Amino acid sequence: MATRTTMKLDSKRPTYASDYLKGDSERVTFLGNPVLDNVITTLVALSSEMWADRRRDRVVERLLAEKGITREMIENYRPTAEDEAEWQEERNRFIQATLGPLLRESTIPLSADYPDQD
Amino acid sequence: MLDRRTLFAAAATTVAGSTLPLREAIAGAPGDLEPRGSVGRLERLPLLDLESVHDFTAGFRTWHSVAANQVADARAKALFKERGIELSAELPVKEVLSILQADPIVMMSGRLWISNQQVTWKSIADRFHARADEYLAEMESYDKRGPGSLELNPDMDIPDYAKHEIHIQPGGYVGDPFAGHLYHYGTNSFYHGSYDDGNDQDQIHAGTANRLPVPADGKVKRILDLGCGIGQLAISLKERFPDAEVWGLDVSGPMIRYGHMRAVDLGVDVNFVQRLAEDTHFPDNHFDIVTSYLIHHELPGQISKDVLREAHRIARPGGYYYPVDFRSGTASRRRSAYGTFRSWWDHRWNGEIWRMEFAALAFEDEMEKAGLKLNPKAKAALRRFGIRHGVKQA
Repeated sequence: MATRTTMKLDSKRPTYASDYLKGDSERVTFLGNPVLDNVITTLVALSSEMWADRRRDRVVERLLAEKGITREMIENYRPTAEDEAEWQEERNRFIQATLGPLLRESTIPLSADYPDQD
Repeated sequence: MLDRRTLFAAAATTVAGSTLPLREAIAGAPGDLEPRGSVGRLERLPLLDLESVHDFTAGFRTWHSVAANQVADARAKALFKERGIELSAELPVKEVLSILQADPIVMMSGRLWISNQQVTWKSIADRFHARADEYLAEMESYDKRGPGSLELNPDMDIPDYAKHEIHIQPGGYVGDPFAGHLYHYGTNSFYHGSYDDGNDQDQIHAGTANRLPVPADGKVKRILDLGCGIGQLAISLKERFPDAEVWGLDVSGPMIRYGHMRAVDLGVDVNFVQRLAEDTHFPDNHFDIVTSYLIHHELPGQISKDVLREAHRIARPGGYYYPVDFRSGTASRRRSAYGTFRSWWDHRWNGEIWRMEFAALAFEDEMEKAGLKLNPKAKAALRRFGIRHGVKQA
């Protein structure tokens, strides 16, 4: 259930924020085992970090293909429309490859007999 | 945020359903934090890796809305069929839950969605919270700057119904000083998977503004957007009606503060006020057009009715209120066994606290009761949403 709370940040400036009602979605268990739920969130977070690395690699590769490399150049690289289209296609493949197995329909119980061979 | 002088680019970004050029922003104003520049009218997130994580979560959302949902939908339908339940049956939530909650496929779909949502919010919040003083100083530098104006009410008595963590956004719309930052980057991804070209350039809001009708007498001097959030629709309305006085009203200080900063960057003259949509303090018969964008399903039923009455009061005769929102009542698309589960899930675990209450509301009837006569020839201002052009009679 919702809990009344206030957000505290490291600043003395006015924030114009109020108290709020914190929900309990962080503690929900969908999969019958909270550890398994946590593993899924870890997988999503890990996947996002992996994608960030890959996307950065692409930036570096593009820059290397042009001239010298500086951090500022990497940080400020602007993907072209062609880049974005290509990268998004790769991203979508990456998502399917890493997280698609989670949709496997593993509904056969461990104790099930081996199917008849008739 | 980042600067912006305004410019109408000759080769302006085209907007779906729109003929308007979009204003773009250029870096350079004092106090403006824009380390990586802008893409059109969207300031780039301050780190490449953060931008990439956000790109991932947006892509994930698209993948989930297609692949994961399809698998879960098929599984749920199979479970209903096994039990001889018609797909169109309206079952009590508890009965639907008793069928679905033990199924790993349906539950995995929900788990994946929530996990992605949590990664989305946390990645953005971590950055702005870690440099809170710096980003608060940036907003301060904009508070009294124009064009447009900002009225904050720090002593306002904010009702509890507005304090929930909608979409499980940490702190909700009122509790995080950077609620506007989180909302802007976090919700842009909501349009991926539903609308092909997303909303990074406010194209959904611009398209909505452009599809809204003009009052029969053609007069548009004053416009108000209720529950304006970060002002995307209010800004788009000003761009469509440049000679009109445009106001954006919202219960959240942080949201309109960000909206004002962004409007200044874009050079768009909008007046933002922190007030309640059900108690606007504007005079009777004051506005030619009153709008709202997806606020009613975030309100308790009684407050929703109060907002309708208030909108009727402040609209002038011949003017109108057009609340853009989901279909509800008998027009709701979710009237099926699985739809019941999806609505409940959204309500219970996605912070859409009032979603089911709104879905049960005969909203069009309530508009009529409030004195807003529905125009039967009106078109949807936003594709797939309810058609609600409520005209105030003379």
